Amino acid sequence: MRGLRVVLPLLLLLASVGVQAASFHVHDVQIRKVRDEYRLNARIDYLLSDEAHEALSNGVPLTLRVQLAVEKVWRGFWDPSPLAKTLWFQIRYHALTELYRVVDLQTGEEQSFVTQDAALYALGEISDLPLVKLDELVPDETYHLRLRADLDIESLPLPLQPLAYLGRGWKLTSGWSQWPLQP
Amino acid sequence: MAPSTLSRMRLGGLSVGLLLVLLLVSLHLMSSAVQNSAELSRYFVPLLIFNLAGMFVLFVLITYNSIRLIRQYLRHSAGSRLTLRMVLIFTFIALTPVGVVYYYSFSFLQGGIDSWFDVQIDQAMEDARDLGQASLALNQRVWLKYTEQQLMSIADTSESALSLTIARLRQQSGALELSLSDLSGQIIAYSNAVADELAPAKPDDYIMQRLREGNSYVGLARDKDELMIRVAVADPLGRPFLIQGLYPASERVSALSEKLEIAYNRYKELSFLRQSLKRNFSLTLSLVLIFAVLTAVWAAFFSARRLVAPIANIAAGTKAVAGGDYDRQLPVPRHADELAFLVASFNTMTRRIRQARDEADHSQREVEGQRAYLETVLARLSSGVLTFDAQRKLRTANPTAGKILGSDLDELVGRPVQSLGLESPMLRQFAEGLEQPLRETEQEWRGELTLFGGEGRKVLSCRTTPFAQPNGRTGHIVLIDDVTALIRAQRDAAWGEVARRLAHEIKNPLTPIQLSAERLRHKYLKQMPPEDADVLDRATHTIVQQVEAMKTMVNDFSEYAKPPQMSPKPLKPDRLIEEVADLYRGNRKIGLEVQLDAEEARVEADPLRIRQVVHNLMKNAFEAVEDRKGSWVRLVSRVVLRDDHPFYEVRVQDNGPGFPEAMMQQLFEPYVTSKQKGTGLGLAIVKKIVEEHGGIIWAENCDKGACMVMQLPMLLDQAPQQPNEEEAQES
Repeated sequence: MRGLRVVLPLLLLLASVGVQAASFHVHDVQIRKVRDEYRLNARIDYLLSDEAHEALSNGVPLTLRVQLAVEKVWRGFWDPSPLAKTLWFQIRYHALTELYRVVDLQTGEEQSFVTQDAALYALGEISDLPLVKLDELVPDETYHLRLRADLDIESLPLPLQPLAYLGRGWKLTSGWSQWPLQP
Repeated sequence: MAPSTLSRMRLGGLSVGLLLVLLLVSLHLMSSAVQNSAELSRYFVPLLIFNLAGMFVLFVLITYNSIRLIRQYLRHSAGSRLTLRMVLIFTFIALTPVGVVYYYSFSFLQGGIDSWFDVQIDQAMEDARDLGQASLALNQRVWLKYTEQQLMSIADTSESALSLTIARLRQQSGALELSLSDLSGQIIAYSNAVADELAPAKPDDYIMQRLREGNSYVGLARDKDELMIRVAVADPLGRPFLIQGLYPASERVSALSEKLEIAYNRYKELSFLRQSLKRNFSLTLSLVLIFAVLTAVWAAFFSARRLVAPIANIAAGTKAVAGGDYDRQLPVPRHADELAFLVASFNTMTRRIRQARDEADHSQREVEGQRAYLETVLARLSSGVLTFDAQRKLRTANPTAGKILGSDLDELVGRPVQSLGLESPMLRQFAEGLEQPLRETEQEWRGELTLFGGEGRKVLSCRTTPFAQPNGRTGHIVLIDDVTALIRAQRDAAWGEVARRLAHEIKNPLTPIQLSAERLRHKYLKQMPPEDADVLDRATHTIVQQVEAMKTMVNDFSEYAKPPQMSPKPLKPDRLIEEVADLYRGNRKIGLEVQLDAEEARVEADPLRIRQVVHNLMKNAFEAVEDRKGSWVRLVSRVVLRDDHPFYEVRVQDNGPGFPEAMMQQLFEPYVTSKQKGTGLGLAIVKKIVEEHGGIIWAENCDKGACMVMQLPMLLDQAPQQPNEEEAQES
């Protein structure tokens, strides 16, 4: 029993570290009203799994998907969402220049980083992202922002996809998180 | 196998066939998803699950079939061994090529994919990358040195002067961008080749960290397709300046680097994906193999069952036919092949066997009917009928023959004639008399056999007739008739005639003789001298006495010979016998024991004559034991069954010396007596009266003296009083 008392917390710690090491997290979400629209500032920590990290190091491009949705809190299924948007980013390692290139697939804007951490940090920064116009929201209605970041398996090279669908190391997602948005 | 079973098998085959087609399509889609279809790849997992589920269903089906087959095999069910053998053969035949193909496909797959990534190519790619990096590094070092020199050449301190100096230095060096900042990264001066680029690219944290540690940084940067060299240098002179420059690589170097980078990245990516590719192909190939194996095994079960079903049916049908079930008809397979022909032939065979059996049954029934008829006729015959085969062994005997011979001949069937005598003396005499006639195979034989047994002398009229047996040999039919009673009746009739003539011829002169003697006596007795008178007296007295005796005798003869003049009426004989017995109860020397157990029995008889009979029997019995000490006479009545008919029986038994054996046969004939004064007509008259009443009487020697038994038929409206049949038969 004593051994179990020692081992069990260690196992739980290791499990939590493992989960921490291979998952995405959304935090520091700020929704600001700037003139006639809402804008988003947020920070997403992309912590890659060993499998994803190995693939990235071997030149496989990883596509990260950020899904955003602004919805009424009490919403019928027939109610349209004021916002349902997906942002796509790609990170790729270039062995010759030893640079990590990050591409905003919406704009095609590219950035190069010397380290992977720097590249992922840059990827995880959402700054002043326009969400919805004020006139798109019903006054006195309660809205929230739903946000999720994950690794897009369908954008992986074809040979990787079956294993990515089956393997746990490729199910990288932050899960849906909700943030209040008050007009 | 029933048609419903066949249709169920077809339905099951169709269902599994549909499942196999779906699995094949699913496997094809999964293979496409693995190889070249990005659209299908998202359905990889559902397809995989569907394939695994379908294969699991197939596996369960095969397991179920295997268990069922093993159970059938252990139960020795028809066709199970052949099915098992065919399944094993089919499975082996199917698995061998599939296994070989799988082995080589797997080897080719592994080897083929690996061959794309030769070690030398790997090394060449690495070398190319190193070469490129070395070429770029040379360029970078030049720019690093140059940038350091530029920083050291800056001597200004004001921001405006520094801006001008930086702009000049950028123009001199041909840099795309040159900026001067303090140690915190705050821009002091900045110059850019592109006029509208107002803000410099801030060095990332990694570069700033190196600079703060006093190390310079040089590295490559890429803006869109353009390759650049980024240099960041801290002031070697110790001033709080950091200079960062962005220099363009030459166009050729840039173009070659880009090509090399694309090729290297592609190669590196493919090399990394190689294992995944192999795993995917191996998985798909293994699934195809499992599918093929399961399909082959199931097909082996299905084919074996379909092929063996008619054979198993024939085996079961043959077993049924062997067990006597000729009504079994087998379902004929739809396909007109040899099996269908075999099944049809089997059905034809069983049909014909059934017809033959029905005809044989019909013939047998007819034969049995005729046999029963014949046995009935033989059983009702008053003559005894026996058959002997060529070895003179007894084959059949009707019940009458057994009765005549006093033995159960059914138990003697199969014995040779010479060994029949072991059973009883009467049979021995019969067998000895027949032995010679049975040797005759050509002609009939007729004769009389006289047998002596417990019931006395018995005369049989015999006739043997040779006949051809079914095996061609000659047997004999023996007809026997008991003519003892007939002969006795003839003799009685002759005696009756004699008696009647005697009575007629003798009685007439007796009266004149008697009258003459009495006249002589009356006329001359008184006239004669005493001596002569005495002679005359004695002589006439003797004449008269003897004439009287002769008259009595003649009357007895007359009584014996005269036709029956009875006046029968229903009566209860026990009462009548009781009355007669009362006449003898006064005798103190001889004990009388009366045991009358047929009180309710009734017979139709003349009471006077029956009384005469009983009186005669009692008188004989008392006379037989009158001079003996401790003598007794027992009178017993009861009801017995004779040929299923109730008879009233009276036994008069004494403990005297019994009848002499030599006299037993003629005991009831006239002039046969063991008494000195008897006329010998008493028992003859008794027998005559009993027979006139439809009864029978016989004499026996018991353990303690003689016994006379009389039986009279009872009136049928009187139920018998639980008679002892065995005793009656023995009687």
